[in-house]
This record gives sequence, structure tokens and C-alpha cells, in this order.
Amino acid sequence: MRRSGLKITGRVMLAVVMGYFASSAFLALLNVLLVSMGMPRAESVTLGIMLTFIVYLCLIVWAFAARTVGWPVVVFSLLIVAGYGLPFFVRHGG
Amino acid sequence: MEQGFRRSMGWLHTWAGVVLGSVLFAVFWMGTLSVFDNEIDRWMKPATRLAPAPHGISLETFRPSLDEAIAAKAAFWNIILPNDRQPVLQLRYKTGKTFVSHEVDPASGHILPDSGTLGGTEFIFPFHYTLQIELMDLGEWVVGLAAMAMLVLCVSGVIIHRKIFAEFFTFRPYKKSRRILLDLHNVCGVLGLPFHIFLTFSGLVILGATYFPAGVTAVYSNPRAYFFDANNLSFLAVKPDRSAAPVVSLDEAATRARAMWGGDEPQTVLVANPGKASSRLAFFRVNEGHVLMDRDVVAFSGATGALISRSPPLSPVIKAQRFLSGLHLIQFHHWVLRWVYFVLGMGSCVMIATGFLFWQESRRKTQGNMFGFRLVEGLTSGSVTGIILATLAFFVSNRLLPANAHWLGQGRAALEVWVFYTVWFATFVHGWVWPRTVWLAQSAAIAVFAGNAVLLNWVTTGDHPLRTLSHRYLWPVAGMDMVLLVGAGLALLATMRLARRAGGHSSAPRQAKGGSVG
Repeated sequence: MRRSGLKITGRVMLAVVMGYFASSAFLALLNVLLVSMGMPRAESVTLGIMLTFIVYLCLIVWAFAARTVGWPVVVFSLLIVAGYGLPFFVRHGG
Repeated sequence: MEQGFRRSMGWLHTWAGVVLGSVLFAVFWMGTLSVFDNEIDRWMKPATRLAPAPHGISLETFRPSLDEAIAAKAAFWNIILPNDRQPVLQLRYKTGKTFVSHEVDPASGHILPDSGTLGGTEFIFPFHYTLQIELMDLGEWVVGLAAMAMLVLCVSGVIIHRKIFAEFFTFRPYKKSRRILLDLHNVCGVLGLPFHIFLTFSGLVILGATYFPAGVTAVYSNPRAYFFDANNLSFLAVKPDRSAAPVVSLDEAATRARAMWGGDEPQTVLVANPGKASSRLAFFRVNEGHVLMDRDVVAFSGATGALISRSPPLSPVIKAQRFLSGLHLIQFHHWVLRWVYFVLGMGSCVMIATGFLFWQESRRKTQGNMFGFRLVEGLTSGSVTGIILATLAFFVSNRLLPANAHWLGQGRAALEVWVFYTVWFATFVHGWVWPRTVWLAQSAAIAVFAGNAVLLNWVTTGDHPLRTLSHRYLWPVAGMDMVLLVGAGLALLATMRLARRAGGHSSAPRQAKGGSVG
């Protein structure tokens, strides 16, 4: 049952912190996509927020369930880079 | 992490529960009480125990208050009209950073004296989602983290149960205490599962824009724009101007709003930028008839009375979100459902508490001397019986403090809150110093406090349970007294059982061998 504290801290940080930013990035991407497809902004944000909590939940469960952290780290990082990099390429609406 | 999916979920369930259980208990406890926040207000503010007023209050009666707000250069002024749960009318305006708020007897139009308490709506309800920590919105974020943990706990809890349907009907009160705890935890968890999931999820969604601002900023230039857009409040976004103009007749505008709603009444009347040419006069429709919070708003120009906007029909996505928030905030009018919420909420509290206790009981033998165990043991009683006791102390102090109590620069309302925190802190110290007897002592204290709260209400206001039960308008007070009495009874029962067990305890050592989870 004993695991090093470092490993556990790493999992928690991966799930809670990276998971949060990855979900946040997912939400940003989804909103930009939906709005560009013509959905009114208020609707896309509202829909996105509802979905994001479920995404975050799945990411947390995955981060703890995965045998090794490799895949979660890669996927989370990709999402974060994509989501937070996007604003540099897409112009804001008013 | 652990070998196998179920084992890793078991690990997650145990530790998410142990680490965030205290916060979760506080949130669910305060949330359950908030189901009856207006009723708690009636109990804590005796001056507002009023018989329902006849309909048709003229809004112009409150013109002096509006003029006062204009003179104070208020940013807004509003009236919240009385309803079935709220017999008083509320007047409020904001100047600078301070809110000026009055409660008015709708029958006479007189302003009621300051009640000197925050009550259910201003202490217990905000505590539910902010923990009353305002520093950098830290409280909201902690509650959000705990709510996500609750969802994780629900998912992992379902996964680790092999026999979820058998657990449905399994409760073995004659078995060993550790088994009883687990059964109780499972029964409350499984029966209330839809409630736990929906209430936690909808609570997160209500504060969603706070927790995930990135979604808003991806397509809006600022969060305010989204808020106005999603709530049809864009009429508020006007350029400030200095030219003065009086506000048109409130009653006349209200009549026009009623006509647009097919006769429905307004719940809230809002004047934004009162006294300016750009002022807005808005009416929010009552929302008692359905779960969905439609927040239908009709807005007029405050200076000319011209119609500015009316909320368009809601789109399906917004409707879904408003249904979730309506489900959580229970602004609809249905007493039976309100009690169901209360009972299910109490069930959640039992589930969290028994989860904690099961963790301890299954480790007491093997890890009883470890620091981590002592830490959790010390925290548990404070987080469970402690917050109950602190809430009761809050109620008792409300009945004991004199009307214009003032001490160390704190007003009466603040003193009540200090009593709450002092008692809460004391229960933690108590649990830390005497971990063996803390449950017994705090259960007994709960029984004493709850019983005395009822007595004090009788002595200080004359509203004893027989009187409150016989007048419909006093039922909120009667309900609160009944719940307090039932709570006192249950606490007494628990005390007696614990005392009996403590008496004949050492002869029957409990079997404690490594738990099934963790």
C-alpha cells in the first residue's frame, strides 16, 4: 500500500491542476469552434461550461486510473497548448 | 496507480473523502439548511413574522426611498416584493460600496427596525457556497474543488460497489458498529445518488463562469458582457451620463409589464442609475410556478417610460442551464418537494459523516497511534458535530443577545457570527484533546442547545409551538421549532447509546481488521 509521497503528489497535481487547465483549454477550443459555426455566443459558452465539468471529471478519473502517467500527461499537455495557444491566432469578438 | 481499475478507484474514494470530507460536510450542511433559509429568517427575525398582506401594494408608496437613493447617488435601487415564503418587502440600494437595505411591513408601509442578524439568507446561504472566505474568492474555489471531489466520489463510489442493488436494501443495525456505518453510508449514498449528482453538478454549473473563465474570454471581451448577454440584461449596459431626470411612475410601468406577461406579477423592481436621464426601470417576473428560472425581464427607460427590451424566448441550451439552476436554487413553490430536498440533504450529511467514521473505525486498531489518524480523528468531530453545534449556538445567541448589542466594535449581527466561529473552533480543540469522549459530549451538547433554542424562542417572543402551529403565517417558525426538537431528540438518543456503549465497552473489543476500501 505504501507509495512515495512524491508520486501521489504528482498524480494529484496532474489530475487537479493539469486536468483543470486541460478542461479549460477544451472549453476555449469548443467555444471558438461553436461560435465560428454560427452558434450565438451566450449559448456556446453556456453549453461549453456544462460540458466542461463532465470533461474535467473524466480527466480526473483517468489521471488516477491510468497505470502510468504517460498518456494523460501527453493528452493534457496537447490540450493546454492548443487551447491557450489559440487566442494568438483567433481574434476576439466584442 | 493501484493495480486494477477498481482498486485505484477505491484508493481515490478513500482519500478524496478523507481530505475534502470536512469541507463537503460544511457545504452540504449549510446547503440543507438553506432549503429553508427564509423560514430561518422568520425564526431569527421575530419582527418579520407577519400575516400575509393584502395584494396590490402601490409601488409609489416607496418613492421617498427612491428619492433617498437618488440623493445618495446610488448605482441602483430595488424592491423585492413579498411572496409566500417572504412576508416582508425589501428595499435596497447601493452607494459606493455599501448596501443600504430595509425590510418593510407591506400592510402598513412602515420600515421595520433593523433585525440585527444576518439570518439564514445572509449567513447560512452564502456560507454554503463561499464558506464566508472572501479573500480572493478563495472560499468559492475551495467549494468548487470539493464539489468536483464530490462528483469523483460519486463515480468512484459506484465503481467500487460490487453489489450496488443489494446495497439498496441492506441495513443491518444489529451487526458490528463498523458494518452499520458502512451500511448506512451505502444506503444514503445509493438511495440519494441522483440527488448527490444533480445537486453537485448544478451547483458547479451555477458558478461555472467563475470556475472556467477561459470559456468566456475565448469569445467575449469581458465576463460582464457574457453575464448581460446570457441573462438578457444588456439594457443595463448604458453609457453613464450626468443629466438629471426624474423616474416615471412606477405603478404605471408595472401595469404595462403585467399586461405584457398576461397578468403575472413582478417579483423584483429595479431602477438602475436612478435619477439620471439614462436610468433604466426593469421588472423581473415571479418565477414560482416552474422549476426553470426564466428570469423574464421587461425594461423601460426610467426617464421617459419608453419600452427598451423584453427577454426573448429562451433557447434550448439556456433553458437546460436555467433548469439546472432552478433545480438547485428551489425558488419554485412546492412545500412537499422542499421537504424532500431537506431530507435528502440530511441524507447526504449522514453519508459524509458515516464515510468519515468508517475510515476511522477500520483503522483504529492498526493505525490508532499514527499522527495522520489522530489528525483526522481530531478533525472529524469538529467538522460533523462541531458545525452543527456552532449553528445551534448561532441560533441561541440570536435569541440571547440584546437588541442593540455592541461589543469590541462589533455590531449585533457580527457578534452572532463570532459566536458561530468561536464555538466551531472550540469543538475542534475539544475533539483534539479528548478524542475518546468527544462524540458523547458533543451529542449531548447538541441536544441541550437545540432544546434550549426552542425554549428561548418561546421565552423571548411568546411564540410557543402550540401557538405557531395554529396560525398559518407562523408555520415557518413552527417548522423550525419542530426540526430543532426532533434534532434534540435524535441527539439525545445518540448520547444515550454512546453512553451505554462507553459503559460496557471494554468487555467486547470490536473486531477491526483492514478495511475493504483503501
